[in-house]
Formats: sequence, C-alpha cells, structure tokens
Amino acid sequence: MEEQKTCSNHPVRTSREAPMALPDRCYTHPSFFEKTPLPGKRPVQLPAMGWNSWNAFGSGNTEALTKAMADKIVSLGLDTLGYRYVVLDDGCYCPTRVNGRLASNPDKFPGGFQALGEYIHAKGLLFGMYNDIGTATCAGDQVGICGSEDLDAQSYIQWGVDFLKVDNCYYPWDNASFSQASNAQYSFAPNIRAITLKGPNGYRETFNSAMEGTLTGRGGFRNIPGDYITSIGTIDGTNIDADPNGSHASELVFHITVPEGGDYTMVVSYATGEEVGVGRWLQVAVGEAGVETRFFDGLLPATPGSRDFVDSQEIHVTLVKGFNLVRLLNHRRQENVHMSYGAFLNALNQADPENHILLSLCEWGKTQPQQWGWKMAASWRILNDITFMVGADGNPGRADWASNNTASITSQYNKAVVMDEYAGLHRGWNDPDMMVIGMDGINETMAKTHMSLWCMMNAPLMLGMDLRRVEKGDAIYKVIANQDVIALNQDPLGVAAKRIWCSLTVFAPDTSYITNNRRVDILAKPLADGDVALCFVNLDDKPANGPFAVSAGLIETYIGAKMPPDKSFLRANHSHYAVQDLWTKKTWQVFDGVFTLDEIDPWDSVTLRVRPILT
Amino acid sequence: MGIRRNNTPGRPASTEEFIEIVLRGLDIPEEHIMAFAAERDILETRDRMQAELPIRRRDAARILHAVLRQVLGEEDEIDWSAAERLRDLYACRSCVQHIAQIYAKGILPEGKPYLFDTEAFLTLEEANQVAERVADREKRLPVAPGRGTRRDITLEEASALLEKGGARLIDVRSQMDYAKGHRPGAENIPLEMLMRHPHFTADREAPVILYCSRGFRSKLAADLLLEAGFRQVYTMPGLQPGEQHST
Repeated sequence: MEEQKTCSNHPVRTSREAPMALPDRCYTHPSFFEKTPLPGKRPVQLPAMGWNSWNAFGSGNTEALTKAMADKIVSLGLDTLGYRYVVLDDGCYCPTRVNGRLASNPDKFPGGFQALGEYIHAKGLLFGMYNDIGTATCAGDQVGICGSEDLDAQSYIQWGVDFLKVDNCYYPWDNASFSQASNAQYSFAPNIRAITLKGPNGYRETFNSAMEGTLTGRGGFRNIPGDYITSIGTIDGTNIDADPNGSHASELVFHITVPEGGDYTMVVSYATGEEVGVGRWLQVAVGEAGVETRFFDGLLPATPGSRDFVDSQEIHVTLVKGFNLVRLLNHRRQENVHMSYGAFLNALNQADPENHILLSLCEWGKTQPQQWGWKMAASWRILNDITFMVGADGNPGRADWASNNTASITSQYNKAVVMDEYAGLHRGWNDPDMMVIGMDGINETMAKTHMSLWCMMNAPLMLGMDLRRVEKGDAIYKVIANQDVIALNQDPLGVAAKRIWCSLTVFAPDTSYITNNRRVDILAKPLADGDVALCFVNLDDKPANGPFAVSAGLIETYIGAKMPPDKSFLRANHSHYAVQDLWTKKTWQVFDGVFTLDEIDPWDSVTLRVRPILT
Repeated sequence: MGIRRNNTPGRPASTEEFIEIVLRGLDIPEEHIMAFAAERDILETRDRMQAELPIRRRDAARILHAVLRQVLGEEDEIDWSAAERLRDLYACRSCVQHIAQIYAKGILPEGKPYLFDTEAFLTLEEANQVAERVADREKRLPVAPGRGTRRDITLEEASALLEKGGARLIDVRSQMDYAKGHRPGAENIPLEMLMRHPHFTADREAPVILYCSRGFRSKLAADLLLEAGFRQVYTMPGLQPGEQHST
C-alpha cells in the first residue's frame, strides 16, 4: 500500500448500517495531529457571540419566543456589542421527517424556519440552528442527520442558516446517550493475548502481548494476573474525571525484527466483549503513526466471553527487512465521529460552496474533540452540559457555581482553563458551554466571574437566559454588556488565556488538571496592542486571603512567546505598567512589575488590563 | 392496536393511557383529560403524534415533572443529589432535570439497579403506582440521602469488600513509599494529587478504600472524596514505609 499524502475522497453522507470504511488518510487518527483541515473548512473567526435557546427555554422554545429574543437583542443594543447569532436549540423540529426532509415543529414554529431566518436577518442578526450526528436529537425527535447529511445540508442552506450546533446523541457507533451500551464493541479493541506472524522461508514467531508488547498512551492495561492486554481505545471525556491533556488512547505496540522483507500473515489471539474496555473492532497498522500503513480495520467475530481467546483470521501485513513497528489499536471512537462531522462539512460545501456556516460541535468532549475538532469546526464542547435544570417560559431555570459533575460554572472552567493550547485562530475554540448568567443559583458576583473567565478563555459567548428579564443598565446587563471585558474575548490577536499561577500547585499551573475549587487561579492573556489581561479568581465559597501576586517575569515565562511581534510588554523592563480594573474602571500604576491582590471575596474575580509604559 | 386489548399489568402503557391514569388520579374529569393536558402545556408535539405507542420512562419523567409544576404547582427539590446514584442520569441530557426531580421526590424509582433505564417502557402497573404517588405525598417512596459516608474498616473487612469486586483500593502515600511496598491490588494516588483532582473517576458509587501510614492522610483523602460526591468511602489500617503488606 502506498502512503497517500493528498486526499480526494470526501463523503457527504454517512451510513446507519455500519461504521463506514475510512475513505482516505484525511479521516484517520494521524491526520488529527497534522496541519491540514478538511477541505472547505471556514477560516476561524474570533469566538461566536449570541443567544441560544437551550438554557432559557429547553425544548420549549417557540417562534414567538425567538422573535422576542431577537427584538430584545436589538433594543438592548447587544448586537452592537457583538452578540449576533440567534440559535434555535433542540426541540424545534417536527418529531419525524417529512418526505425524508427536516421540517419545523408545527406547534412551536408554525411559520417555518426560512421565514424565521428572514425575520432574524432583517434585524441585522445571524440565524443559528441545531441538529445531531446520530439518528435522533437529544430530546428524542427522530431527525438526526446520520444518513441524510446531504439532504439536510440543502435544507439549512435554503433556510439561510449561518450557524449550526451539532450534537452527539443516539450516535450509532458509541455507547452513551441513548445508544446501545453494547456499542462499546465499536469503540474498543478486543482483549489481545498474542500475535503470531508467518512469512518467507518458514518464518513463524509468536509474540505475547503482556511480555513482548508495549502499551503506549493512556487507558490500556495488562489484566491481572497479566496474561493479556485490555482497554485499547479512547478515554471518555464527557465527565469531569478525565484530564484533557496528554494521551487519551492506548495502542499495543510490538517491536519486531524480521530477517527478510515481504508479505507476512498475522493471526491475533483475541477475545471480544461489548462493554467499556473490551470491544470487537481492531485496527492493525505497521510503521509510526505519521507514516503508517493500515492493514486491517474492522470487527472481529464475537467470542463467547471476553476471556475465551480464539485465533483471528489471517491478516495480511507487509514488513520490511529488519526492524518493524507493528501496532494494534482502535481509534474508531474518534475516527467515526470525526468522519460524521466531516461528512456534514462536506455536505454543506457541496450544497453551497460559498456557504459561511459556522460549525459548533456539541460532542461533549467524549472522544477528545480538542484533538480533531479544528479540522472542520469553529468550536467544540469540552464536557457534558453546564446545567441540566434548564428554564422555560416564566421559569429562569437553575445553575450552580460548583458541582460534582459537569453541571456548574467551575466544572466547565476547570477543564477549559488547561486547554488553551488546543485553541487559537489557527484551530478554533474550546467551548465550555453556554452561559448561565440570569439563571437561579447564580448571583451577581458569580455572573461577573463567569463572564470574565469565558472572555479570558476565548470561549464562545452564548447568552442562555430569557432576555425579556434584562433591562438596559440593570445588574445582568452590566455583566453581559461590559465592553472592556468583551474586548478581551474579541481581541484580534486571538490567544486564549493561560493559567500562570494556582494556589494548589507550584508545578505546571498551565496544564495541571485541578478540580478542587478551594483555590485561587491567576490567568494571563496577551492582547494585540501589546497589553496583557490578568484575571485573579477565587473559586472557593469562602474569602481568599493573599497576597496573590504575579510578576511581569512570570507573565513573560508563560505567554511571552505569544505576545505580538513588537513585544512592548517586555520592553517595559518588568517595571513600569499602567493598570486598569475592567469592572470598577479604577486605574493605577505599578513600578516594580509585580501585580498584587490582597484578598478576593468568595466566587469573586478581578480582571485587569495591564499596559506597558515605555520611556 | 393489539397492545390495547392486552390488559396484563406488566404490559407497557401507551403515552395516552399514561396521561389519563396520572390525571385521573388528580380528579380531572375523564372526558377533558387530553384538552386539559394541552391547556396546561404538559405535552410535546411528539406525545400527541405517538399517543398510541408505549411510553418510555424518560418521557414519563418529563410529563410527570410538567404535571407537578404546571398542575400541582409543586416546587422543585433544590437538593436532588440522591438521583446522582443513577448511572445513566447524565446520559439523558435533555431530561436530566425531569428524571432527577421525579426520582428525588420518590415518584418513579430506578428501573434497574443504579439505572433509571431511560429508554425502557413504563408498564401499566407502574403507571398506576406513579399516579398514586403524584396525588398523595404520603405514598411517595423514601429516597436514600445523596451524601456519602466514611467508615473505618479492618483488614478482613477490606479483603471481603475487594473480593466482592467493584471496590478500589487506593494508597494515598507518596510514590516513593508506594514503590517500597504496598498492599496487593492497591493503586497509588498520593494525597496531594487527590487534593488537586478528587474527581479521579466518574464512578462515584463504587466503594473506595483508602490507606496511608498512620491514618491522617487517608482521613483527609476521605473528606475530599466525600465532598467530591463519592458515596462509599472506607479507611483501613496503614502501612509504614518499607513494611510489607500483611494481607
């Protein structure tokens, strides 16, 4: 097999029958770590800003409510601050397709989507919609795009859609959110005890997995007492347990030296299962990831139990004389959803090559989309939802500051804050979910900190409340309309903040995943004009007593390389800076290059813009 | 439909039957039930289109939550953490709040151990029980508290727990102490790592057994895990550095 550097085969429709063959190396795992996105990916813009119906109204959003929100965005002047997308989330479709096509819910959206889009566009706003790469949306409507991507792309183009949030429920090849638990058969390799290679001149050698194989990455392990290897697959990142940095998959690798190059056959001693850690789908590759040749990619016949080892069919592989890297893996958990989202991008481009639709992945961090979402999308969700207690007309819903699952401001922040290296104008944005400002449970201090953190991290800024409850100049308005803070999010340099100090670790504050909220963090963000934004945040529900301080030198250590070319921040010789608090608007000067705060109230934060003074 | 002629209690209730049973229990006149449900905004378009089809537990939870709020004016439980024992709670993203409330209020229990069983059908018998619990708070099921507990256990009790399977044994001493010798089957998560990231696994129902040297670090670790939502936290006798395991 020749290594293929260019890609020409780009599907516009996926199958509901079985996971599709990967059409091209552009759709394989190694491509996630290269530099070329899928063809026709929109250039990345600064994070999207707007309003989404989910947190405010759940499945109960309607045409009338949506129009009221669009009206209110304009009358509050939020559009002039950058909030332009009006996004219909789940619950807007007719529960089944009509002649194979998507249709609007006749009770909630009687006027249809095209007319609603026109209404929104007439206000100078942009129109966003929602769907799902599985067979149904999360709310249960049987209208997921799986198998209809090309038709649905035509509908969205026809309706004048500018933005699409695409969910991951009822996905046929993974084992969560209403799919069969047994779908783990696709996302994990079988248990593997040994491989046997046969080749020229009577070559025959058996390699024991546990003794002679090497496990790479994270997740896989040797069973106890240690006679086989298990859990070859990708770690589930939906909940708050998984560290987003580092490897999220294991491979079983054999370093094999053969006396002669040529055709070999490989037999794998394996046992299958249909549960987390043990599946049926195996991939076999030879060579390093970037230049690998894949010789097998499919389901193996089921065995009676996950310890009932049998020999596989003969798998043909080509080896070179001398040293070979023979790898057994299963990256399908990522590759399948990557292809589903990719096919949808292809379908949109086929329907209208000039379209400018932003793709917003709502895959919940399940298959580590921070690694591959940049290839087709503007942003990718990093966890399950920020709240499950969504509102309804007349009920603001409820959200939390902290929780032991994903449903809180801090749960989302804790993960996103160590993911800045995955974000940028060359990739896209981590999405810690829509904002919960205005919901019960979130006080003014929390709202201010929530807004500051989302802006510092370059998160998409999607308001999630009933905007009829906001008036110009009230407390919520002052939070969501703080232009100085929004300017951090929309700064043209497009660099997400890095955590440069954390009270719970001296080691690697920028990449250490920390979920204990009894702490203070300090974030730093370089800006296009040479300024630096700093945010001091107390995540605890008790006051934090400092002093908390970072120096210009520490700032340089972490973000110096990302500052704009003239490096004016550094030319101030770590000494003289003008500082403005972006919430109180107070200004002062610093002469020793040290930025200090004595105490921080519970849930509170201080966000500063620091300007070098050059003499 | 054939399904409607079968009146065994174990058969699934249809969406329409379920709504009728629940609202009849609230003394809504039979002939007005569907109109009443529409007027109170209890139904989704899907419910009307699928009125004859068996109702899934997730849809039953949504309808019940709407009945509680929109017919009975009942407040939501602010502490619904009891529902976190349901391993599939967060799988059902669009109906988590409905399932959590209906479960925490003791109206509809888990379908299988530790599972709400969101996609399963609700039986006629269950529909009748649910209707009684909606109408009469006295009949609601007691719900176990959400917060976990810590208990000191002996070596023998720890062994028994580990033999049962599903429990995790964690040595919270330093990596160096662990390397010098540890209890069989123990994984090493030093206390300072637990302090940074106490949510080291998403499975917080599984028993966790902690040990250190003298019991100070394991107790701190236990407090951290309880705060992080773990429900079954045990501390067991420690191991001095270099001491060989005694189990």
